[in-house]
Amino acid sequence: MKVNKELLKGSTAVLVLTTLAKKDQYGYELIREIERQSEGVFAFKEGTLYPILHTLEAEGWVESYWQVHDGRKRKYYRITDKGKQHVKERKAEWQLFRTAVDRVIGEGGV
Amino acid sequence: MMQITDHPKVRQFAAAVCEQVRAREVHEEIKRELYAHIEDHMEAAMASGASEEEAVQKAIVAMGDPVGIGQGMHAAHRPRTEWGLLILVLLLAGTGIFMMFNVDTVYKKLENGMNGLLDKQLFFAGTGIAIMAVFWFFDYRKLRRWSELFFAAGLVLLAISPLVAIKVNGISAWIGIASLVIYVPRMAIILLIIGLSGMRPAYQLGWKEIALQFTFRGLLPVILFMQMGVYTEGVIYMAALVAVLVRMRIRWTQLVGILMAWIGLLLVTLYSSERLRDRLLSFMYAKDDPLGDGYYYTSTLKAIQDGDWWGNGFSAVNDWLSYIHTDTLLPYFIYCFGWVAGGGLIAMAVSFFYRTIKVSKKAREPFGQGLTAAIAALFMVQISWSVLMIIGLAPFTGVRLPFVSFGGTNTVTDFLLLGLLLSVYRRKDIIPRGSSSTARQATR
Repeated sequence: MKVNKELLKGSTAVLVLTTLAKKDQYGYELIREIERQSEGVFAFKEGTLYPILHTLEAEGWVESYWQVHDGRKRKYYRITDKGKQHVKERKAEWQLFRTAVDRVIGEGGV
Repeated sequence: MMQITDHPKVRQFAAAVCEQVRAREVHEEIKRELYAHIEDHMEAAMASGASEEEAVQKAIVAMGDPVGIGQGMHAAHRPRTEWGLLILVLLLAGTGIFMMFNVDTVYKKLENGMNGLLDKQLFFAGTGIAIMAVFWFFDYRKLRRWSELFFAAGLVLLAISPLVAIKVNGISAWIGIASLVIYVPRMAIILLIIGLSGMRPAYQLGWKEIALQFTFRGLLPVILFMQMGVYTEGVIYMAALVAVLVRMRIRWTQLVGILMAWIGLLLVTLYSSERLRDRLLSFMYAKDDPLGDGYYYTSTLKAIQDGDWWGNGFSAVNDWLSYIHTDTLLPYFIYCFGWVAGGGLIAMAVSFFYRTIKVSKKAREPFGQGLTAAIAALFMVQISWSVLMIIGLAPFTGVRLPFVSFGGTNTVTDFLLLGLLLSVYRRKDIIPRGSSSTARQATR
């Protein structure tokens, strides 16, 4: 299934933050993880992840650091407390939205 | 496998991304991150049987459009402006200028011979804003290289001050150059805090080095301030030093050691300085001597009470507050415009220093972190002291409300410090992570 692009755009940040909440990851690892978790629904151009990560860092939602892993230097991202707070708020919004949509289209019985 | 950078296509891709990013400093880090990603992707492709050339091709196609990525990167690494801070300061400075107009009108009515405060304050604020602009766009990190020199200059200035300065009220703290009169302790404090911020991050220091640093940075300046009799600046300096050390994650046992040493120094000074003892006693027993040493507190409290909710109006004559353009500016403001406006002014000043703390939290590298922490501490002490003082909760000194009360050296340097804060904030997203990443690791 392919998902509407606009819908994807807004949720990517939350998706990234939620994935980082589990453990610190570097870009490549993160993309593979999101792909796996979403069973291929969220498959975007890999390079577009980096502007998102850098914007999240400017917002103070993630922090980055370089670390050697398997003999290769990688830039890891770690979620901050502020980032966790942001995810919490977005999740609450999403719940509200989902229940509302469920109610409308659920009862409509299309 | 060849080196990743040996592939012209990979290099072209990274270069096309970076071409969109105007902040050159971050290019290297962006490239390294992209290379690492492409390498990982190639490795995966080759593991499933692709040739090296095919793998490069696959990895780059999977990345997507380099121009779009570059534009996104540019948006994440643009210079930033702390508008909130700037607007608050302009409001505070505007209030100050308006108050000088107010004070000029009152002094004219009182015929006390003081006049032209508005013109002078306008000149100071104008000069200050020009200097602020210079420091704002100047890369503050260049100051780091000279930080030891700044520190030494601050110490020398304090040490020679008693020899060359003009004595007023028993304190030799003013130096006249042409028609300008400069308040030495304030100049010294600016030099000293820039100097402080250049020190090695505190968490890297052992006890021996902390002791050495403390002697030069903690004791020497404080003793010089105390000897001059300018206790306010001494306290502000101590707060700035603590802020720098805490921001750079000093071990708390070392911090306790430093505080103990200062308490010792304070006790010795209290024992030997009659002047300081008198000042403290008059603060503690102000109520017993309402017309003598306690006059300041009685008069400010009365002015605040008389102000009531809405005040006595513009240029309300008050001949029992002394120095309404400096020492009693805040109570006089409340006397004129009431508790609501007074509360508003205080709220503005408090949200200003709150924002300075936030700037410090966002600073990227140790020098900027230390510098902004020191500046935040300086403003915090000045603002809270000048508010607590008028209700008798802090000893009366010549401490000024930043940007608002009258003063040449003070107003100009307030703006200079603001320029430094804006400069640090401006660069928060255009400084690469690489430089401070090793430092962060060490603390974890």
